[in-house]
Amino acid sequence: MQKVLAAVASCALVLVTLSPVTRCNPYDDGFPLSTYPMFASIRSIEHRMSYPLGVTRTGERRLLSPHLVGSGEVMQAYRIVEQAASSKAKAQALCRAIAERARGSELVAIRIVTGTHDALAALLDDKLGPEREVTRCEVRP
Amino acid sequence: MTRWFFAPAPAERLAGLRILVGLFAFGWVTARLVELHRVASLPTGFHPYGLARLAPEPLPPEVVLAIGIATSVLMALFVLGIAYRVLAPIAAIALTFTLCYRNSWGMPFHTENLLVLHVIALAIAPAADVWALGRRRTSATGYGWPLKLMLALTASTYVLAGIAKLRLSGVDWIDGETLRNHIAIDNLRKQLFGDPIAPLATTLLEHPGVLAVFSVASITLELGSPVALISARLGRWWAAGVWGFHVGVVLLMNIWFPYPLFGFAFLPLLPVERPLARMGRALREWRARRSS
Repeated sequence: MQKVLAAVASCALVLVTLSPVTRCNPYDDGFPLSTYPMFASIRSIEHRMSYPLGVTRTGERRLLSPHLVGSGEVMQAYRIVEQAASSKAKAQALCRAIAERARGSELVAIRIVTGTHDALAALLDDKLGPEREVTRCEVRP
Repeated sequence: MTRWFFAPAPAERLAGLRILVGLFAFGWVTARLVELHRVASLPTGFHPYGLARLAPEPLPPEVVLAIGIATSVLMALFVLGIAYRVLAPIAAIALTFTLCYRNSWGMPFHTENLLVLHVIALAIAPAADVWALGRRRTSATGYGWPLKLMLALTASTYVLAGIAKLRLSGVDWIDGETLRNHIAIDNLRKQLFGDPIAPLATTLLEHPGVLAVFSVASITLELGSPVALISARLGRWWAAGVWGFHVGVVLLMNIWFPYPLFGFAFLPLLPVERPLARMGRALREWRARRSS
């Protein structure tokens, strides 16, 4: 009887683990039951993404770490900025939160921008595409 | 099939897996408590997955931290094997909830799925009959089936990753260009978020032909993962290949999957009880020498 229980429980756990394959939309991800859609789709080399930038007193731009966005993980920070950039109010709220964390640094302002870049040109030749400012806020001294 | 699934294995092997996988889970959750609190404090971005759906609204960060600490304590008891039949399933549920909650902010990661599945498998297994603080027992089911179950779970996750590539891209995924674009975009994100890009990314981005080989190898390893269930020797070769694949992911994308990278995902294929027994003997001898 115990062996039957062990076999049934094991089959159930494996079937539940495999069950995401029956989801109609492979992007319908979950945790811990996942369709594992990461890096599975065909991507264009041109990539549109939103990200925060810092501005120094002399007007130079600075790339900001994910910690300033509120997460130690790049992908999580990326998603947070993407979601925030979908509306002006959310973007402004995130901008102010980043500015608060950046207090005491060399930065005087934070910008959240959406850029469209050729990823190969950006990485291999340092050539960035056009950027559009979503919002901007000051960093209090 | 029944003979294969219930093939005998030493109780110490399963107990060794409990200790090692449990230690990984304990260390993982404990080391990320601060991060868990910080993420739970985010003003937006909560999209609950799995058990985190029990909390339709974000919980106060202090409550999340308390649950995280309780999970750490439960995983420590899991490692020690104390009141295992009662506490191990509770520890597995706590770990699942904590990591579901952590993954409900921003996006779900795929680094912790197999850890959760392995802990659930160990929690329903007689993994604390030896090498545990508490009453010694003997299981009527033997100790081999949980190893097969953990291996099947490992294989399932890789098969799903392979199927996702075929569903979303078809055979075009193996032309090298798709992988190149993913590597480039992932590294660009890192660069624009002020994070270091992967050490070999720019070198290999200029050689999509090499990436085509990597693409074929990746999808072969993923879809071929059930071979690990056929024999231990085949399983170890497969595990070596998958480990190499994860090293490649670090070198090309700077993405770390610690559970397979440090070998924990493949422990059900190995006689883990032998080094642990040697360590135990060495510790006892050291204690004896010290006391004399």
